[in-house]
Amino acid sequence: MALNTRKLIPVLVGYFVVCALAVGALGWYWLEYQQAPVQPIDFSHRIHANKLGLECSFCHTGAAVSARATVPPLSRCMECHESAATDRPEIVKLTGYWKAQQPIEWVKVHSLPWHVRFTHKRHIAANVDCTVCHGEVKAESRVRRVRSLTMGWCVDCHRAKQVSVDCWICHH
Amino acid sequence: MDILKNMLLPPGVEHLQMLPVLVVFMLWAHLPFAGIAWICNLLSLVFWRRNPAAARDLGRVAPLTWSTVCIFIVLPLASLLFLFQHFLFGEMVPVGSYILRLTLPIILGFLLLALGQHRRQAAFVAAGSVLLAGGYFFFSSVMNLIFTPEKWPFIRRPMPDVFSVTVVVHFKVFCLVSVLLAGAAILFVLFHWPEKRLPVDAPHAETLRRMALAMVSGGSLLLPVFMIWELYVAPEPALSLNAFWLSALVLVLLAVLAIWSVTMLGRSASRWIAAAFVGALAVSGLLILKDHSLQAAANQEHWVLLNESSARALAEWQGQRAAQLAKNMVADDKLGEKIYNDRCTACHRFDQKVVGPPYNQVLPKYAGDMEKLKTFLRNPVKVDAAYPAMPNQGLTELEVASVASFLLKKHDEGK
Repeated sequence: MALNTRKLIPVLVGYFVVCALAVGALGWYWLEYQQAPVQPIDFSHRIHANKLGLECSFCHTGAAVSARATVPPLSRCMECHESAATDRPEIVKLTGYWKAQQPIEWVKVHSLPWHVRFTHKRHIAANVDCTVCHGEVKAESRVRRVRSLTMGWCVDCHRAKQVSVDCWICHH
Repeated sequence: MDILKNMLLPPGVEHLQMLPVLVVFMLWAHLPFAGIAWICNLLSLVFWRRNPAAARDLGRVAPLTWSTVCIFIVLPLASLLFLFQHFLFGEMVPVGSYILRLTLPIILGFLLLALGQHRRQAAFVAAGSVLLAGGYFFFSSVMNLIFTPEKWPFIRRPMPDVFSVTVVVHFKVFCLVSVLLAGAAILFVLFHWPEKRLPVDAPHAETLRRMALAMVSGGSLLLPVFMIWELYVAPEPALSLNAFWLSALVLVLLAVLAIWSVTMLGRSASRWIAAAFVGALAVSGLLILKDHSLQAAANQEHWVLLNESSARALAEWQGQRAAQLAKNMVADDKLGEKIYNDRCTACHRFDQKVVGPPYNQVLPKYAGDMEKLKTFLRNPVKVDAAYPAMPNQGLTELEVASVASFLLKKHDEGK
């Protein structure tokens, strides 16, 4: 017995249009909120940390001594860029900020919720390499978040290293 | 699994360019055939008692012979083991050893299926199907692990983390693609392939045709849900525009397949079967590409560093080889004299100053130390402020050795 399936075709088309819209919405959300943000200056870790071999702490001076790793002040950039690669467009932009004595408004990539008290100092003291949480930043031209930084992930690491997983360790 | 690590050489630059192509090709050579064989044998169990002829026909959709098992199962799995070891060279994740552990149950599963079909033993087919279900579930978890690098430092078990949502969804996608492919393959082999097609009056032909069409429509309709779910649960660093474009392309193909299969269900005979089979193969190929795009995006930093270290290792090796060649080089005096006449005499004489200093003045410092003269000739630097710097002549190692030997000999003769 032959079925009359012609009436089903508009339903099928509608179903696939809804699916396509769902894929499009996920793609739009990723483009808008999840991919590496565009920074005011196209700073390349690949050049500074990989090609030139600068240590992370050369610029992020706060990492070993305070809770925050800190973004370097403009003066640190200008120590080299007053004379190095001064004709490149991004360095011209950097010099513009310096001359106007205006701070660069970097977009934060590795954010944690307000109720998490993460301290860089303790992790550096415990010999946790920067790449554990930040990935191979030296291979990135634009910094992106490569770890989920969720509680489960932090707890996995604490357990693996046999460190306390008491709530107050991070939520004090 | 240190033996496995020790067997590997660091991948070369050219090898790295070919690696993604080979990974996708090997997965495409393996997964569609494996999925078709697995689902068709599972279905044959359903017909085993009620309709033995239908069960036998389902068993010959993806025939498991020595050659098909070698070409579509053993060879791709063995290649994937080494390809993924190279893809993740230097990383702490033991993907190669996981694939090695999976290879044995998967091959055993296919051998049991082949034995069951050959001897008409349902128990062997059932055991093989269960073994394959387990094997491909773990295979999904290994593929999933590759695009989840944040889990790598915490691997403690001999098998990867299997019961996460992403793994289950990934396995569902594999099952649905296999159902879709098996449906299209049943139609292609039993209703289109001239040598293998069923006789028109075969009593179970219509049952198999309708079942195959239902499999294609069911697979095409359910696959988008799990594909979107997979994108939703995929880790953030693994996503890229490619993953979304490829998913959209898969949706277009699935829509065509769904409309075709539903339309054919309403007819007494099926048309465009070959095109539908090619479409189903294209869906599986695009999904493999999408999976690879997730793995590539999640490991893009590792890939950059691997390429750089490969280029460095190659340059180092070439340097060592050039130095070794230079050390063993036999100077050719005639070649040296020719270079002297063609190039050196433009600026130098032995006994008079031209553009450069006379040889009799500069060569004594190289007497007994030809290596020092060769180093200068390879890369001339300004020595005497009274003369301009000598331009680099771009000589080969043999030319350097020959001209250095000729100059020192001629200088010794003139003393």
